[in-house]
Amino acid sequence: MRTRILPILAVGLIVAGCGGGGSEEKADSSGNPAASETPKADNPDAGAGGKMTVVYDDATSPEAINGKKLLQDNKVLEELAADINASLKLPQDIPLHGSQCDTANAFWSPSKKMVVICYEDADLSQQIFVKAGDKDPDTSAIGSEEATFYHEAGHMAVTLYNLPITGREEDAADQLAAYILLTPGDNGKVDAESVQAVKDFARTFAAYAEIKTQMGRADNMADEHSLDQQRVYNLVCWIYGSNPEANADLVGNGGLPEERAQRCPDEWQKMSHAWSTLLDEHWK
Amino acid sequence: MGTRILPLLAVGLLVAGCGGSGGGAEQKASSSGSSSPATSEAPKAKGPEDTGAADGGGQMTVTYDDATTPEAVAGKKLLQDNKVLEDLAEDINQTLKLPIDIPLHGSQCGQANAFWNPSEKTVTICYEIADMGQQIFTKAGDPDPTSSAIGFEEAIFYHEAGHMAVTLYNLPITGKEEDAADQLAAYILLTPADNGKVDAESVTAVKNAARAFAASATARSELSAAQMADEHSLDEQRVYNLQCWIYGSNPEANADIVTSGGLPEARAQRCPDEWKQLEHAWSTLLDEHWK
Repeated sequence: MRTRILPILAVGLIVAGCGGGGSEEKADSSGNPAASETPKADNPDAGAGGKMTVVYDDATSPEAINGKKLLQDNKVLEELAADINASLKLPQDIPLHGSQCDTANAFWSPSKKMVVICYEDADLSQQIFVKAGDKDPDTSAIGSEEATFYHEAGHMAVTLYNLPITGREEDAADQLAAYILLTPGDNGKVDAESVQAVKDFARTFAAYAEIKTQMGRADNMADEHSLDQQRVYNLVCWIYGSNPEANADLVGNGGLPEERAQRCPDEWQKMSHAWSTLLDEHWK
Repeated sequence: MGTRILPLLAVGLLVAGCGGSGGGAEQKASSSGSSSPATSEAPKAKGPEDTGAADGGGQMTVTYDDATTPEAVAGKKLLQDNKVLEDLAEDINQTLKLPIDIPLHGSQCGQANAFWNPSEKTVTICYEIADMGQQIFTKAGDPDPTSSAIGFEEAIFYHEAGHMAVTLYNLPITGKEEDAADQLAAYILLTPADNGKVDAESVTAVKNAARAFAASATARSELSAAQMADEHSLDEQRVYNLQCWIYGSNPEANADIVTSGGLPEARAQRCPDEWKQLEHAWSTLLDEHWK
């Protein structure tokens, strides 16, 4: 049984007190140590020598500037990269870019083999949590960006390791984010901030659904992603399923419908089994 | 481990008393008639396998339970007259290693559905879903609605067989298991046989499954929380998924799916990759379980 380094790391890093932040992995600003990494693996078969390297691209629009500031001030990308580097074998160097995209999104490019977190995504998250009245919207936004990153890392893993993924890859990637953030560390405990990160991730999807409704946009039934509201219920289901006693408040009363909730512990077990099996040989 | 029955359809989406227009969302296979194209579509046996954990000595056994209601009587007749369940069981018995005997029941369920029961380890095809299929395709004006309905039953069965495989082999399934089961049905029916060709009736089976989902999707107007939270994708989503996999499995032969507007271009362009991914996944997951 592998030592679950990722959750342990997440625990340790979240505790690190950072100015106004909270749940992120911090490196220093401008991606210093990451950029200095030299690729050690020169062919994919080498397996483990690659590093995730952080780059903060330029930002010119107000949303991008704000989002970049949130990420960079809190060393969000550096810490996420450090987490990956400490725990996953990468067959090649993988750039992690903060970028101005002119849209709120994040993506894994399977052809360029890089992860991009759009500044606008961080900015939008912050706006959502300010509007929601969160005491610390920055922390909420950063947690949501963590989950977003691990979702993209899910796509990355599928590509790099040619994983036999069933179902929608987008749902599988949501599952990986949940798996990483909700799996107990070796001490048997799940960090409260990690659970909150998944909740905040779900809250952003609920907000997107609301925004789209207000804009009068119809659901895209043909999309590769599940609908925003479906993703909300999936994430809440996995939070609940990972610890029904601690998360009973999520069920009913307009939250997770009971019919789904009763099968969530099973669903959590199955996806834990799946992702731990699929990643088993790829941990450091 | 929870003992949950894994139904084909989200129960909440069913139209009660499905005697009329396409009620529930089911996976329709194509009509295969009395021959056994299902058998010929079975994914290639991987050659003699060494032991593995399961001895593979189990058999899928067919039972046609009693039927009393008109829908169930009609559905039972459709299945039994055409030996649908026997052919499907034979297909499984020829190709998959089963660690235990698995009963395959035709039953009167009081609803149009199909189930894998992971605690009892049984597959149930409800007579009512065969009857509903026949009604949908009769209403659609198919030249041979019985054939269409039988093919639909094939797809339904292979979806449940997907759940069965997940349970029996403890497969590491990602995404919604309901989507993975839809994928298995598509994989089995759309993968070319050893001669490199896909049986036309099998492709039709998947198309008819999509048509059945489309028929039930139009019956609903507003999505409830229960539907959004359901383990199944919505009917409309399942239609697009199936269309995508048909297209992705052979874009040239199935270009009409896109040109006719049945599949948006934005999704279609990634369907060949999506098909490759599901092919890779299911062939990998089942690799050691073929006979």
